[in-house]
Amino acid sequence: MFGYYLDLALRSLRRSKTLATMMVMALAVGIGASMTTLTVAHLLSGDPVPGHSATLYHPQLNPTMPPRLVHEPTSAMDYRSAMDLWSAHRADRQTLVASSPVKVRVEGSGEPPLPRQVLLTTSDFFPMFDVPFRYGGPWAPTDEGPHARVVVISSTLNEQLFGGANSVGRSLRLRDSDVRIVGVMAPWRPAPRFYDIWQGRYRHGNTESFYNDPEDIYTPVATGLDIFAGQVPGVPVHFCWDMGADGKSMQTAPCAWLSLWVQLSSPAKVHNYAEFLKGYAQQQKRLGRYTSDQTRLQSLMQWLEWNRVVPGTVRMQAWMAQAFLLICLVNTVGLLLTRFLRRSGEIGVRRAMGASRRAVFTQCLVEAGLIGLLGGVGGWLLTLLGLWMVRQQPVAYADLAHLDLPMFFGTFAMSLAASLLAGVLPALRASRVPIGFQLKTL
Amino acid sequence: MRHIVKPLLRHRMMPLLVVLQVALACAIACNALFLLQQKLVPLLTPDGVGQPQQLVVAWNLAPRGQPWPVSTLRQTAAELRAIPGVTVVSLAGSWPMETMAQMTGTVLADGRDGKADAVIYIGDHLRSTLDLKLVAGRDFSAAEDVVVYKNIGIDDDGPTIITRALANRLFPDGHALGKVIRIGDQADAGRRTVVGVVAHLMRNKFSQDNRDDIDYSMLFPGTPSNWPVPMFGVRVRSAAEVASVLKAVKATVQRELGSNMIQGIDPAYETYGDMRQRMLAQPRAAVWLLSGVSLIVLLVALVGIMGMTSYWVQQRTRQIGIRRALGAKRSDILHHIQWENLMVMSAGILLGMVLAYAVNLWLMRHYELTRLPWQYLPLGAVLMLALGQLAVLSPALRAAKVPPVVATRSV
Repeated sequence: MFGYYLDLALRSLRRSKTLATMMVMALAVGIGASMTTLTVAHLLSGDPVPGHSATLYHPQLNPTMPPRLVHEPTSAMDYRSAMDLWSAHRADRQTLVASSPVKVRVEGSGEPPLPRQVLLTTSDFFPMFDVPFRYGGPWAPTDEGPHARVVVISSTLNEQLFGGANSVGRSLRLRDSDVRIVGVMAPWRPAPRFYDIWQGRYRHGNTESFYNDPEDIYTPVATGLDIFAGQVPGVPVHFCWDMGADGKSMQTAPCAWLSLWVQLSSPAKVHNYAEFLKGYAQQQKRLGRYTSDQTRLQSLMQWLEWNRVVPGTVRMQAWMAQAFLLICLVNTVGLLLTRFLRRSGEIGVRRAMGASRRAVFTQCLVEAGLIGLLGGVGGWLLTLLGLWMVRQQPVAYADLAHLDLPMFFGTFAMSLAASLLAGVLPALRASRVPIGFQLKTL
Repeated sequence: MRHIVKPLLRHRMMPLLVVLQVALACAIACNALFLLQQKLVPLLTPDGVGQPQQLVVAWNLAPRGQPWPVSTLRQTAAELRAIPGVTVVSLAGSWPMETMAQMTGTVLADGRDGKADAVIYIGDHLRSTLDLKLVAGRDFSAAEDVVVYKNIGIDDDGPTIITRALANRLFPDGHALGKVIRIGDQADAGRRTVVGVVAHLMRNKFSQDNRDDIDYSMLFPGTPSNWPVPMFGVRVRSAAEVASVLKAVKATVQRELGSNMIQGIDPAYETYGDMRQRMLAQPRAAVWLLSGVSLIVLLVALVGIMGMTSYWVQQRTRQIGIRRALGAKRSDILHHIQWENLMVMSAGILLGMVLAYAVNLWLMRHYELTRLPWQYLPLGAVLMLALGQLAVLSPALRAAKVPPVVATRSV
């Protein structure tokens, strides 16, 4: 029966080509706009550490002191608190991060130094965040001391400096220090760069910079402090709550600049860690080092949520495209209705010859579905075009805009669902055509 | 009128769908056009800077530790002035379009209730370097330009040059020259006497500014001291010399200040024109997107209305034939269909206005947009009505051509 309905639907499409083309096009444009924006929103709101993001937590304290006391736990901590918590080893894994600009070059290459970002971190960073390695691996925990000179570099930088060859064991010049490469990462593009996002909640949707590429150089915190001679240029002035910070080493400066991340694999461990954190804050308050004993322990996804990472423009475009799809749908309802009702005579004959209402209804829906399928193909092509256009935009997340498999199937599912939904009302109407009246007018 | 409304009420389905479609299209188009207009403001507002490709800017200069002393900076400016092909050099604290620091705040017309949010640029030779067009008053004198402020200079008294838009805002009677503007509402706020008015000067970070404010700028002469992020503007004599001057500026600034710059923060050297191009890339992309969306929304609505009306007309071919046989003229039929369309569209537009307003309220709540100006509603209404008439024209003409003889067939 289905084959027969499909045949009827094809015949009917062929009969009125213009109207059919218009409907398919309208549906395709709606689906294309909707899927383009949804794909971008989907990619930007995705899980940056698929698999075990649920075990990653971001502990926060409020280390700020008068005169710049803030009333929220800060994104980062001062050096001493961060080190206390990190070296307590109360979690399965723990790492510290702080990002800073640095000049890098290969000794003796004669090339001018390249401005790049360096991430001051610890060896747990790599296994915690599932960082893939091309050559070598993370530095040993024994290299966290102050005089180690080790770095891990990104595949991009390896490509630029060494043409993609195995550069483990080679040395780089960071600022005025020579460092040895111990590992080269495989391409890694967490979106967003969740581990160093700041105050997204207060950015009014201007969060595009959260989707920048990750840093190119990774070095132990102590090594980084050595290289920068105690100063970390990437720390903005407003992260320091006392202006006396100038010239002081970041180890003692009144600045919140190191973020702590921990891995906790069970709810019990999360509970214990939260208690530990509270205890630490209260102890520091008793010691007079803190004025506030606020703490917060958020999971990675909660942290992204709290920072409202998806840029405002992306969310707005997604809403706009859904509204647009709604217009296209109403349009399809109207056009399908005219299409079916124009054939009232034909339907009358079929009904008179014994077709049930249900059969007429199904036949109309098959036709709507066929239009939906064609619209889906058009929508898929337009989505590809739309994503290509997004990739041409001057935005940080441009390179991420690709259609993945779920979104590919989503396009067709959405198109089919939309056209069937739009077809229900016209099909119902068509199946209720009064037989006698139609036969009389033939 | 009754003969138009009654059939509409009897066959509710078709007109209802048209109403729904028009309402949605209207709501979306109004808001999209409003957003479009907002994004167009910085693209269409003249920034006032003359010959943007012949203005080289050296910025993103950040000193290590203490800010550079004014003497060092002035020495650098003098070296820049000596580069062949350079006509005038400005040593400034902040800059239009893009800058490391911006100075903005509420300024008040002294002795009256004029008040505005304006941006302040402090530096020497600003007017001539930016090549701003004076429309009243004079440029700063040499004596005014050599002042070195104890601090940034915002709290000091002195002369100022303001834009025409700001002058009109603060002094609506049109006599800004010689009047005093207070920088902030504290009792000890700086007092600036207006000595000149320039045609335009767009502010920096325009994406964050309110649209009315975009041309509210003030110039102060002199040089701030203890200012951590100075910058230089270099005016080039001819387009042919820009490349060589750019190179020389880079070399000079590096030589004079390079040893004291923060490592990792790279100074930027570019022409003002390139800077403008870069800053406007995003609003420009948004404009394309929004105009595309509006256009397609209207097109889809057009197609929908056309399809539905033509069916609606076709269904009534016999009735039209009867009316023609009974003496209705072609124009009567034509007008009937057009009136009908007008009424259905009006209902849709009324609903659409409410919807547009609701969408705007929602956007205001979540995306910090400003309120949809009421002018957009009649504008949107007229646009939709015109669109509706356009869509109905071909079906209506077809209806008018129905010969009376149709009425006699197969009754």
